[in-house]
Order: sequence, then structure tokens, then C-alpha cells
Amino acid sequence: MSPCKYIFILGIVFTIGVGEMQAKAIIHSSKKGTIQSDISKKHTIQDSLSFRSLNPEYERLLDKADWAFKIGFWERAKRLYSQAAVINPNSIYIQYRLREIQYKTNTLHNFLLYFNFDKPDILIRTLILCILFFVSSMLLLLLFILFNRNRMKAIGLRRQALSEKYQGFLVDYLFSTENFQAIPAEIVGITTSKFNRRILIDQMIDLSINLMGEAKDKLRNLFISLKLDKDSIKKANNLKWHIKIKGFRELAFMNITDANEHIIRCLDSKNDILRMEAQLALVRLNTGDSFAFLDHLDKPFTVWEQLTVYETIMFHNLPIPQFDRWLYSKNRTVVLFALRMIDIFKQRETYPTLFWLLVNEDDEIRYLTIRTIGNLKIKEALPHLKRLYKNEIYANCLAIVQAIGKIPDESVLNFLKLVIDKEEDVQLQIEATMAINNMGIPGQQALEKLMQSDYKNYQIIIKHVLDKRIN
Amino acid sequence: MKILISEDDLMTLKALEHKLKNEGYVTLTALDGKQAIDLLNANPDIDLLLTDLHMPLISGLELITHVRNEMKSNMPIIMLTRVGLEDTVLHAFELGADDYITKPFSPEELSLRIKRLLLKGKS
Repeated sequence: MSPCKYIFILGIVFTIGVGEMQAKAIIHSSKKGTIQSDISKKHTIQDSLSFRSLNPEYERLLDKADWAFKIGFWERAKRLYSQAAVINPNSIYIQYRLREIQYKTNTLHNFLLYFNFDKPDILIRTLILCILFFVSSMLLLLLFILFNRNRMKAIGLRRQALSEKYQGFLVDYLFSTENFQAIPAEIVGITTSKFNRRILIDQMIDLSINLMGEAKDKLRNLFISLKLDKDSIKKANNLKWHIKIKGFRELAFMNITDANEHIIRCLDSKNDILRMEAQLALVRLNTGDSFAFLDHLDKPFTVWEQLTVYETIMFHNLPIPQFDRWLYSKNRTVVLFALRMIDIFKQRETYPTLFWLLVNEDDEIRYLTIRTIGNLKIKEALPHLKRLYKNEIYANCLAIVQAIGKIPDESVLNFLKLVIDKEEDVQLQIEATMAINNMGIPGQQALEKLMQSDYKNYQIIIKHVLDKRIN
Repeated sequence: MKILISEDDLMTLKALEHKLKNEGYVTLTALDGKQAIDLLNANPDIDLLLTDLHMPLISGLELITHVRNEMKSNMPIIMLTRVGLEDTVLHAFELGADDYITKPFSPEELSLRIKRLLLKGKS
């Protein structure tokens, strides 16, 4: 071997030695976080000078192993480094990497990473963090639910105990034969706490629902004396609609009119329930003019709301106004409600106003007016109904014939005969025949004559109407 | 005089009980029809039955039927009803009820009705 070759080999060995010594020194001196980058630099220098440039297989394995190590494929990195170590068994870098993998997979801190199924470290760490987050959230939520349930249960028990206690106080106070004016100290004491006041109000409302007369007046006076009306007014002014409703109800039950203006403002609320509750409260609070709220109502007064208001006036036996006052309302649903109420409460004296509605441009208003006239048996309307028939829509024509049928009068006999004769619609013919039949003897005689007529065969319809099995 | 009050609303029941006790009556209370029947069977000396029409388990109508048909008792019966139940009230009268009062009611009016029925029963 020539001296040049010796010098060349010695140079390489020296370079490797120095490189590995430097790498070792860096490994020992570096902190955990920076060690990888320093070593990588070193091994790049070292390998570029030595094995790497000489052995492409070794270089390929090392690159792959580094990549696997970087993203946390521990098993894969370990395998690749081991393969590389077969080619270069003296590499301190590889030994260090293998020790580092060993360390990472064996320490308790990375215990879970050992089961990484050869997936990237970052993915495993992210998933572990997610799992930890969700599990801890679930535990927190469970604890919250448990705590809240127990809290609610405790409040419920307390509420029940206090309710029973207050019921006793209230009943004692209301029906005691002793001093009527003095409020017992135990009831006054209740009002110091907000929670207790709320329970007391609920009990008073419950009691007031089924009471009237002197007992109810006494309860109302107690409500005001304890300044519980202030609580109800505060609720009525609350921004939350469900609290507002509670306030409205309390005020209505206790007949406190101080918040009426605010309730009127809620008549045009976009919230259907709030609007309805405002209507009901006003019906009860304006005892002199229960339906005054109809004057302020711009929103449609739905059939459900109408039914609820009707139920309220019946239940509380409220005074019934003359509903013709609203027959000219700009709100068509208010007109329809007024017509229904005129019909139900048999306000026959309103008929001159009703006649004007027969020429209203709204089909439904005309329809309901015709039906109301029929139900109230307003004879004076017969000429108007006859005149109206010609230009009416089908549903209203049918309603006219039915209404005439409820007001038996010989003056409309010819008109009804004309309906049977000229109309093609069987339902109209049947209703007209029934109306004639309702007139009694003159009507039945007219039907007999019609049956014998050769001009047109009326027999089927008349027989149908006169059939006692179906009529 | 012993009165049985059968009413499912606790607050109303308490109010009625208190009012009638103040009037000097002995009262028994039931929160449903079944309890009322048990009390009726255990206390044959009850002088008047005051019952709500709508109660859980056994309704007021069934209770009236029981008193008149099973117990064959002539004790006065007053019903407590809501407005708008006129048909039910008529049915209750057919079954043997003596009087009715609609909720909301005045305790004073109820007291007078009870007195009247008890006096009528005595005479």
C-alpha cells in the first residue's frame, strides 16, 4: 500500500473519529429539545464525508429512518436504523437514535405512544389530546348534571315544604274568624326572601283561581299589603317573554291594573303566546270594558285566540259588551270575532249594523254575517238576502239558502222555488227544498205541487228531503 | 255534622276544610274518588258529601253513583264543577246529586248551600 493510500485512509478514519466525537459531545451537552437538529447536522456532515457518499443504500436507509423518526414512526424508524447499523455498525448517530427510540417507547411519559400502531407521533398525540379533552368534558358535564339534579331536587323539596307551610298560613288567614286586618307576623316574615316571596305568590295565585267574593278580596288585599304586586309588575316589565307572561297572569288574577299600559303595548308583539296572554290579561283587568283591547289590536286575532278569550269571559263570568261596536273595525279578524260573539250571545238588536256587512267586500265577513242573520232569525234581513243571492259566490249562496231555511216565511217561497228550478247544483236544490219544508203546511203543500209538476222532475230531491230516515 | 270533602286540588281542599271546620263541622278529606269511597265505607255517619266532578282514579260522577246505588244512601251531595260543564252537571243530577256550585266559588255561598241541604235533610 502506498503512503498516499495510508494517508488517505488515516484521513478518513480521523474525520470519522472527530465527527463521531463531536456528535457524542453534542448529544451529551444538548438539551432534549435541540438534540435532534444538532445531531442531524452532524450526521449530515459526518455522512457526507464518509459512508453516506460512499454507500447509497446506507444513505437511503438513513434518510428513511430519519423521516420515520421525525414524524414518530418509532417501530419503522427502529427497523430502518437497525438495517443501517448492519451496514455501518460503528455509527454513534445510529446508536444514539436507537437509544432515543428505546427511551421514547419505554418511558412512562410516552407509554401510550408505544401503542402507536406505527402511525405518526403527531397524530397519536393529537388523538390522545382529543380523547383526554372529550373524556374530561364528559366527566365535567356528568358532575354538573349530577350537581344540578341534586340542587333541583333540594330546591323542589324546599319548595314543596314551604308551599305546604304557606298554604296553611294563607288558609288560616283567609278563613280565620279573628282580627281581619292584621297580617300575621309569619306571613310578613316570608317576604324578606325573594325565593320565599315567589312561592308565596304561586300559592296565592293557586288559591285565587277557585275563590271569589270576600275571600278573594281579602287575598288581593294581602297581596298588595305584602307589596307582592311590585314583584308582579317587575315581572311584567321583564325583557324575557315567559317572565312577562307570568307577571301578566299574576296581575290578572289579583286584578292589579297598574301595568295595563305595558300590557297594551304587548298586544302587537310578534310573539304569539305573549300577544295572547296580553289579550287575556286585559280582558280580566278591564272589568268595565273587558274587550277594549280589540280597539288597539292591529295584528290578526286568530281563531285560537278568539276561543281562549271566549273561554276566559265564560270562566270568569265577565260582563258581555255590545259587539256591534267592533263590526266596523279595520282589523277584519276583529270583525269576524264580533260576528261570532253576536251569534253566540244572541245580540239580535245589532241587526241594522249587520245589514251593512252584507255588502262588505270580504267574502268571509259576508259569509259569517249571513250565518249570524240565519241563527238570530232576523226576518227583516230576508229581502236583503234575496237581493244578495244573485251576485254571491257559491259558499255564500248556500249560506243564504240555509239562513232563509232558519227563518220560515212565505214571502220567500217563490224565491226558493226559483232556486230549485234554476240551479244546477244539487246541494243548493236540497237546501232550498229543506227551507220550503221548514215553512210548515204552506211549504209542504208547495212541495207536493212541485212533485206533481210535469215541467221538471223534482221528485228525487223532494223525496230525499222528506225522507224521515235521514232528516 | 260530618262532611266528606273530595277534591283533587290540594289548595282548594285545604281552603274548604278550613272554612267548614270554622263553621263547626267535622270534616274528612279525600284527594281522589277512591279515597273518598274508602272514607265513606269506613264512616257510615257522614252527613254530606262535597265532591269535585273531575278527580283522578274515580270521578265525581262515579262517586255519586256509588253513594246512591251501592251504599243506598240519601246523604246530600254537592258537586264542585267548572263553568261550561252544564251537560255533566245535568247528568250528575240524574245520578242523584242535590246541588252544585261552580268554580271559582264563594266560600260563604257554599257554606249557605251546605246549611240549607243539611236543614232540608233533617226536616
